[in-house]
Amino acid sequence: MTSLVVDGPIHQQTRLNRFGAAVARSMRLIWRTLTSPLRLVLSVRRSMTGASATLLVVCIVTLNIIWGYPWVGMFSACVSLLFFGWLISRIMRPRLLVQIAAPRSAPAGQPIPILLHARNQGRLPAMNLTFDLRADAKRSRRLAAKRDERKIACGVLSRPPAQGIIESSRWVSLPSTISFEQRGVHWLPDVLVTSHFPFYLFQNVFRCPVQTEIAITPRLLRGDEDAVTKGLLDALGGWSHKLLSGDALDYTGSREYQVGMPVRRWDFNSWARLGRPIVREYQSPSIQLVNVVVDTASEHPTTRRRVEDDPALERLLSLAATAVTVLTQRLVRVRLYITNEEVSEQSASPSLLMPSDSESMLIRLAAGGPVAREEADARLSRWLEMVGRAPTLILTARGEQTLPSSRFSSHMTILRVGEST
Amino acid sequence: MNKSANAVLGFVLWSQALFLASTFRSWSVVMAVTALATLAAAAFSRWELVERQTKRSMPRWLRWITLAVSFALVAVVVAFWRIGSQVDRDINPVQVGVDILAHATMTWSLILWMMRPRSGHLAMLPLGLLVVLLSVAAGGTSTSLAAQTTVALATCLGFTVGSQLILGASRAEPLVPSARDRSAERSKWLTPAFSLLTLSLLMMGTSAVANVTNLFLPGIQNRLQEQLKSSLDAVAEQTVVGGTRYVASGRLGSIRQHMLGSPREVALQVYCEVPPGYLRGSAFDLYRDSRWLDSGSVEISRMIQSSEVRDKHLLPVGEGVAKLRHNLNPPLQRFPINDSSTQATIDLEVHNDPFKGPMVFLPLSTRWLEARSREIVVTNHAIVRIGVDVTRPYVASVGTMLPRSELTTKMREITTDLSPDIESAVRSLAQSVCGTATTATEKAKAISDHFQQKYSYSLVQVQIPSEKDPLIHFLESKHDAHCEYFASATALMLRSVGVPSRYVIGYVADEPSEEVTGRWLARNQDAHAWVEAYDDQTGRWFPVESTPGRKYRTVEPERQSNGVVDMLAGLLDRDSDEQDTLAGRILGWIGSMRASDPLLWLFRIAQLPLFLVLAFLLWNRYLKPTARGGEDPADVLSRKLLRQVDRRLQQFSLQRRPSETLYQFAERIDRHSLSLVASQRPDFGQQLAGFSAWYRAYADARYQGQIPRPLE
Repeated sequence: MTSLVVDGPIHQQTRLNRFGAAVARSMRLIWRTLTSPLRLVLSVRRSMTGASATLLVVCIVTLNIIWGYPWVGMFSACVSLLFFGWLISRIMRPRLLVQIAAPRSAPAGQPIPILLHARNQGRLPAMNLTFDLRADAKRSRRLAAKRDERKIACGVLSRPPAQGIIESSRWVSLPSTISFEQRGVHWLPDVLVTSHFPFYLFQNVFRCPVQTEIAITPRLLRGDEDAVTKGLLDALGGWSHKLLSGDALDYTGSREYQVGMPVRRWDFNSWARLGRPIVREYQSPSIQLVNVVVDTASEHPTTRRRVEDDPALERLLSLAATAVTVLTQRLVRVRLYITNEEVSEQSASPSLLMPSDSESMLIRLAAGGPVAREEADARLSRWLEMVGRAPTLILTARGEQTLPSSRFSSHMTILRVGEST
Repeated sequence: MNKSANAVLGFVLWSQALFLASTFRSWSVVMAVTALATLAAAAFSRWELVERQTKRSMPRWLRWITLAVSFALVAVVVAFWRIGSQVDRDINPVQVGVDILAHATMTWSLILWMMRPRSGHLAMLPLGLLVVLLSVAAGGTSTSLAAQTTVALATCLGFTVGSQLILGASRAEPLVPSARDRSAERSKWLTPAFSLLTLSLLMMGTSAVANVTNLFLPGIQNRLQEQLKSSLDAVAEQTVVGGTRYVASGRLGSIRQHMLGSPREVALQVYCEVPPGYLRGSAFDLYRDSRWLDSGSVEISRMIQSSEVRDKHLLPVGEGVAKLRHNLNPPLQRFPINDSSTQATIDLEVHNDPFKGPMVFLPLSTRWLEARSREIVVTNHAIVRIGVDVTRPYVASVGTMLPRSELTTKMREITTDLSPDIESAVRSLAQSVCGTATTATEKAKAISDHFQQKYSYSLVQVQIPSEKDPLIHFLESKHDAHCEYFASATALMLRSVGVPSRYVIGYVADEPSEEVTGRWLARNQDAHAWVEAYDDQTGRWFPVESTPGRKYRTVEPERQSNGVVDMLAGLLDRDSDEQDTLAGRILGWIGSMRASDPLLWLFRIAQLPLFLVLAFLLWNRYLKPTARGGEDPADVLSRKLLRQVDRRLQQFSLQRRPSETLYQFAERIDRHSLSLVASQRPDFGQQLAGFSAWYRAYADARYQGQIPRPLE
């Protein structure tokens, strides 16, 4: 019986690939073998502590035993502590799985309580552990820059406590507090675990990368910050007061006062006639849904979202966050639109969320960024066409020339945020 | 750091202070200072004064300056104190320097402890090691293996404890896991258990390293000193001033240079009842390029590459028993040099000048050497090359008989070696001189007589043509010469007539001292070269003296033999009598015990059961299969069996797929077995049938919750 072997171009290509892979593997092996002494030295150097450095110096001094100095004992102690200490340190190197439990979002500049869960995956216990949170490790600065430079913005307010031992297959939870000064969606800092076993002679440092993001929402504006902020808050307060408790409310009837009832206006005539306190009741005319539009148009939109790049934008987003928070606290449903988002049916439809749930909107504000003016104008027009005649608050950093008030109908209010607000 | 940890740190510091005080005999002050520091540390620790105040009130740079100034002040005060306490003695600057530095270091450690009583300071680690280092250097412990091992183990223990306390305190690490972990209570004992086990391992390692170091260090030291010596000799040869070192070079003219440079300078002092005579310092066996070489030296032995020419390393066979002029502590060690046949002996106590080099000078018939050494290196020519501490006297026991020695093939080849250009010039002369002589002794006598009778001795240098070998020129011109020429020519002529010979240099100690009876002097002018030839009939090397006017002389033990032997015998008898009774033996054992012995015993022996118990407990917890997460041992064993059988089946190219059940795999094995039977391999087929049956039995057993049987 004979067989025909087909050796076509695909097979040849596969063979070539295999050969290339084998060569690459061999080269890697040779390279690793050649550089292994250097890597070993560097590894030992990295793992040295004050104690091992002391031992090394004394060990070098005690080498004078070859000239007859009576330091055989000291030499033996130093060599043994260095060699066996390093060996034990390598063997007892902890194998930990570290995860961080953190809230979905948090306001910028506020302390964020987080919880580190460290699980020992090794067979031996992990001992003499210290934990640290690092967003800016010197050795992997390039890597950190590649991943996300915003990691640098994290500050550690309280470090996780040190841990004496974590048994095999066990876990511990370690509380810590961090804070982010800048708005945005950030990576949580990496966890740096250091093991000092045995006896702090050597240390094993390894970084546990954390693939968890947190939305840092814009700071809420406070009236005592500066005059501009105060003016903005006053304008926002005036608009909401007028909207929610102004003239547009309709009288629906009078009823007898009972303890705990909100009193808008006493009906003194009826009180006098009936001899019982009577209050007049008004009904709010469908002010249960408010549109808040954040116009993030910028003359020079950049991808970098740093406060120092565009303070007006940050203030605009902070004002928007304050508006959303105030409105939702008053149990008004808010429909938010930010011009850096695409316009869709979903964005124009009324929110199904409970009025008190403002977190999703704040997270959207956290991710807010600048957009070109023309695009912002187009999106704004399209979105306003799609939504109905609900009261609308337009927050913008643009002036009258670029965004004239005449473009908008009477139920829309424009609040301008800028240097001259 | 908690209170108990603070106490442990104090204990480590007190141990250092005790060691320091015992080394330098400064008990009162060191104990007082340490006690004061302890009280201050306890007070500061309670009130938390120093750390808080210094941190708040002083800027960093000011703190550093204050610290440096206070350290300098401490050093000055300590220096005054230590120099003042030794002013009535002979002050050795190095010793005083070590003394001051050790005490200042200890004081600095105590100051740091006072400043940071709760957490200690990182600098206390190097300072602590420095205290021990200096104390050991100053003679705090002996150089014996036991004492050094004790130092090593104590250092290991103290340093690890100090490191854990000082560095651990800065991390504020809890000793037990957080309360969230359910196993917190159970883990309480784990940290100390692991720490103890690791400490035990480290101490065992330390003990092993100490033993290995002690084993190899003498060899390395000897090798290094040998190389250094050869380098120094090479340099010394080039120096114009002769006599500053011992004669050690095989270059023709080096002895003359040595004799003429400071001729009256005393090179050796020998205590002996009779004139010691010829004392050998170096022996050479290869003549090349107008100079003698030693085949056993580092450079030449590398080229020859034969184990026969390599030096012998000798270990002591016991403590020396010879009585010295001045008692030495520790006693000398005895090394056998030649055969130890019972014969009359006489002892020579040799005092070297240590500044002239580490050479040892012994007569040819030396039986044994007693010297301060742990290991000596002896050449093939019975020359002690290295290893003897020449700052102390050494004793040679010289017998009546010349030593018997076997000449190996390689050594015979070397000691009869003659380069062709010299051979042609020497052979004819040697044959004519030897005439009818047949034995080695007869030939040696004939050649010796030839030079003694027909040549003249002179130290005047003769101009030699640059292209000519000086020895050939000497033999041809018969000019007046000195011992090197006569000895070299004799050795080469003996070789040309088949007698192995070697060129020996050393001193002739025959000048009695005027101050002390029984002391003999060898001065630079007594440096000499002579020849030793090998007699095949007797198997012994014998001396040949051919320098005109010289006669070989050595000690003559017959005159003193009875006295010496009797005295030695009496000494040995007295020792054995004392140790006969049990009480005497116990007393002897107690008397011989050192302070470090119980510590060493504790470290070495007591830690073994501890290590075993801890290792068992931890293995039982972490590495035993049943202990892994409550896993059933039956599962573990079954999986192991399955893996074994899977591995065995791989030789039949059968591998169980992950998606395949055991029964499916068994069917596949059956099919494969049938194919093998069909292809005329019935034995393999039967074997595979057994495998498939085992897989089915395995699956059944596991289904029933039983442990499967292993494959037969």
